[in-house]
Amino acid sequence: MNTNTVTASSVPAVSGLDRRRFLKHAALASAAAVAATRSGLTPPAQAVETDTRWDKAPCRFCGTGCHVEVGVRDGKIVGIRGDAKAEVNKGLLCVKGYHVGMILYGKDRLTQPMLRRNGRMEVITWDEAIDVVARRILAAPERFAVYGSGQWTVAEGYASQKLMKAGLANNHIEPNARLCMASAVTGYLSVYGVDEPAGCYDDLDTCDVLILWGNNMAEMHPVLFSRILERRNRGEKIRIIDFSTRRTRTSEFADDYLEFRPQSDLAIANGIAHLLIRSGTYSKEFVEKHCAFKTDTAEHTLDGRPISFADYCRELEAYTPEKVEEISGVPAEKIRMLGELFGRKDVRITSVWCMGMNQHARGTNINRLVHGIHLLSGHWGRPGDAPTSLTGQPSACGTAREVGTLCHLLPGGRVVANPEHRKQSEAIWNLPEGRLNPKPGYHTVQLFEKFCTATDKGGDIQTLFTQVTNPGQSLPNLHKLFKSKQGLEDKFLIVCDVYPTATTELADLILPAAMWVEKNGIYGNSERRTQQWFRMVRPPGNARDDCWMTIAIARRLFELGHPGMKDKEGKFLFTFKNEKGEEVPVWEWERYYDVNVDRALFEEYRLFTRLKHKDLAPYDEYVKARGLRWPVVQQADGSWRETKFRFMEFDDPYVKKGAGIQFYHSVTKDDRAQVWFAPYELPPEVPDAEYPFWLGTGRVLEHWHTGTMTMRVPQLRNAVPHSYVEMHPSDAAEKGFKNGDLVKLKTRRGELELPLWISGRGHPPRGSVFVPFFDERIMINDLTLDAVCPVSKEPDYKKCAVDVQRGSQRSARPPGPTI
Amino acid sequence: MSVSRRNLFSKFLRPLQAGSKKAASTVGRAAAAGGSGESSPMERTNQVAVIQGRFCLAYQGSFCSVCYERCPVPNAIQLNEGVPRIVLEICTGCGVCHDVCPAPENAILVTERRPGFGA
Amino acid sequence: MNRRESHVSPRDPVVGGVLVRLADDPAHRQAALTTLAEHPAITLGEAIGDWWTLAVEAENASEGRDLHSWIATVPGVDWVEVVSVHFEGMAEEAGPSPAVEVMA
Repeated sequence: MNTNTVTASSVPAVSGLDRRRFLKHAALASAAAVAATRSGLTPPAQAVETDTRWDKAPCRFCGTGCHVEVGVRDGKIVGIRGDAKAEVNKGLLCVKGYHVGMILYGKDRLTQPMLRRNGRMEVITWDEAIDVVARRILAAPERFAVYGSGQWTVAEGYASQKLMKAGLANNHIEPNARLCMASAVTGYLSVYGVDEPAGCYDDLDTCDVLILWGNNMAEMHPVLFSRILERRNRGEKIRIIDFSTRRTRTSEFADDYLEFRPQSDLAIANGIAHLLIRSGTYSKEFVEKHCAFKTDTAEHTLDGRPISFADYCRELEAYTPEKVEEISGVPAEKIRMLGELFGRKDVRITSVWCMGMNQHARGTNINRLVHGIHLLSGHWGRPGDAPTSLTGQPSACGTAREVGTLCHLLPGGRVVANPEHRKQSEAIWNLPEGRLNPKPGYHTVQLFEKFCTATDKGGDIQTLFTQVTNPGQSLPNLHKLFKSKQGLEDKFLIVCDVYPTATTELADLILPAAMWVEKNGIYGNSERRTQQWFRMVRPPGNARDDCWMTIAIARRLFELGHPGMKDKEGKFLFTFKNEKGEEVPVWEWERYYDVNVDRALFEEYRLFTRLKHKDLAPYDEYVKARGLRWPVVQQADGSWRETKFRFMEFDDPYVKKGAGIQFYHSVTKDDRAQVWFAPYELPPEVPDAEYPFWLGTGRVLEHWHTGTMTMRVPQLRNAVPHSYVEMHPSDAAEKGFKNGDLVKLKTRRGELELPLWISGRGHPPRGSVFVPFFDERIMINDLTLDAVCPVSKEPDYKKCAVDVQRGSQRSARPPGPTI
Repeated sequence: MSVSRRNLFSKFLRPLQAGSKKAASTVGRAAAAGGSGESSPMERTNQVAVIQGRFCLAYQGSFCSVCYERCPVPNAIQLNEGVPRIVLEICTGCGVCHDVCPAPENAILVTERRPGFGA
Repeated sequence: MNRRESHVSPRDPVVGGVLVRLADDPAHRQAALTTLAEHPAITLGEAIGDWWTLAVEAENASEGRDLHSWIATVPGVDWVEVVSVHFEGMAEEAGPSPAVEVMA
């Protein structure tokens, strides 16, 4: 409170101290000095400004991809401010973003490699640690797996990908993006033949109608939602339609709030298509020129089955507004309103979604259907007319999807099963022909099943190496998919992370990692924007870069004689040269920053990006920019131009002149997009007499994912210190629960107790409860279902059946994990 | 009283109050407690809370409603289109909003309830 | 000092240190403080004796003068006094302490 005594040193270490703020303190101090003198008090000391260096970086948290400016003084981050030069956020940040610098400074950073010996974690040297990993791999290379994330930088993901697929010919590499974006990917692939949105955030600036499909944008992508509301403040009209299974902060800003029963979004999308066909308001021109039709089949494959337009119409016949109301609970007149809206040519409609549609037992199908109504109605191909998925991680697109760190992919949109793709990859990596393994590895849920099953019972993954993710908290059905690792003596879990987590609790080896601006990095956000930053501060203690770890492990394998670590000329896979052309042994940590490894790996990776027209510019272009959206194509004058709108002639240089719109990666090879039919189907688990409520899970604004970073920022932790369960007031009253009571949730997979929050931030309908997943003391994923979408293999965290009872009087489990 | 937020947050805040020196040192609560022990946030103190728009994230176009959600006094903070406002006549000056404000610079000023300012 | 001052232009953003004295009338005092606190360009400091300290940010000197006039018209504000003006234009070259032009 004592403004007049604020000096640079008394301001909290990371709080956005910049020139303007400093001046404000100085102004207040000078005013206070005068007031104090007049009141006969001692004037306070004058404030002092010291040198702070500012540099750019994308925010560490979600997939929006805001840029921040990071202020560094004396080797420490002392300030964070929104980057006004960034198109994405124009200087604005959300509550997490303003505190992003503090995530480095939690008191319990991991700073030493530690190995479990006789049940205890003991500090070991890095040399020992790398040797342990290499020997575990060498003992059974095919039983080794890597699990990373959409928070891997591009270089980290690429290095892991190369170690696994090129070096070990092992495809058991997955990112946690499988739990997050996989259904969006299969959606894009089966509709357009190539992953990632055609549009971008610019659509949000020009649409007349914004439809949020199960997307709580005000909490999950707050800066994007601010960008939309800012248009309202300027007097522009924008209609927001919020489809949701629970009322959220976003609903407060919506013109229409449409509450549907879990899974019934499939019926709603079909209902809209039904009305477009029945009223003849679908775009005949768009359909004739640009669309073909497909249906999902009983086998639920990526390719489905082609059908005629007449067959497509016949499939939709059943989805009358009345029928849709019966399934979804959304009134028939609202379905008609939506049908009419999509039938209008004078409005521009943008649909956005994130986990609501992706973490869905029919995630691929709902993605297909939403693309379908945009294509069918012709609300596609103009700025503001777009179906666009958002991502939850900063590089789900840039790393997991583009580098392709999934069990079936090779970089740049290639698949391991395609001989041509393998050949191309072997050429770029200079591998002997036939090195790459054509058989996809295990997808995430399978991978953890195999790791948590005894080896003699078929659990053929023995060593698991995780980086930048916390599966011990984020996997569904944790008892089955994670905790049952305990007691399996021949299983070995290696965890690279920055803090103790639920995952490190079961680790056999812990490798302390550098985070965010403690290392060089590149991320790719939701709108195809590739963003680069430089290391600004040093990691604490003996923490080191994830990418270095991968290269050091590869080198140790090379030294131990693993043949896969050599290319076809016998050279080590990760060979880097400095400007003088001398090889630099970057696997020696002291030499790691003698060259820019990120730059070198990125330039190599770039070669992969042309095939699917996801062209990236040279590294140095990203140094100058606040991100560039691919394809980034070189112009006649040598400059590099980003692409905002793909497949559209006015902006995408790869579209044939005169085509207008061209889906040049069409799965039918005729430049057409696929409009899919997929039926409404029941979810894998529905409430019954024993488990009468729906359970949904998700995030809150203040915390990011499993809270390992945000729960260590005092302001964010104070703001939402504890997980809770949301319930409808009438359901609570019926059960005799009061706000704050401890209640017990129980599913077929587990149970836990947590406090009740009625009429809090979210408002679930009757018969439904919601629990955030950030709190490691209250792990809701002990209860969630591990059923997956049959195409994308992404689990459904948004719905399962739960029973709610009064809790015992004892309080929740004691806080904090232990090592 | 049917459903009040007070019940909920008294439970939520217990670990926070125990673990946070900052919470204990809050101007409002210290004053309310009269220098001794824990006191009810429902007791009116000689302090009152003011939101500083310059620092409040909601006023800056970002999203935040933590003070509104965590305020233990019914109706003392109201939310209009996502923007919180303190009703000085109802505010007891307990300082919970100050403790929980996650803005980079705390947007809640707990100030003396002077004549004409919440008094 | 002179070298620095040569960089200052009336078009640079300014931050002013301001003192206000509020009316005795209770309702007016309350209205004034709430209005001032909620203004996005104003940072409320503390009460010292009869005075409240404010920091006022403006995009240029002229806007600063307008804000000064506006504060004076807020019901419940009896007296406004600009104590200092800090120029952001010198940010890039700022030395160990900011140039403060004290007016009072």
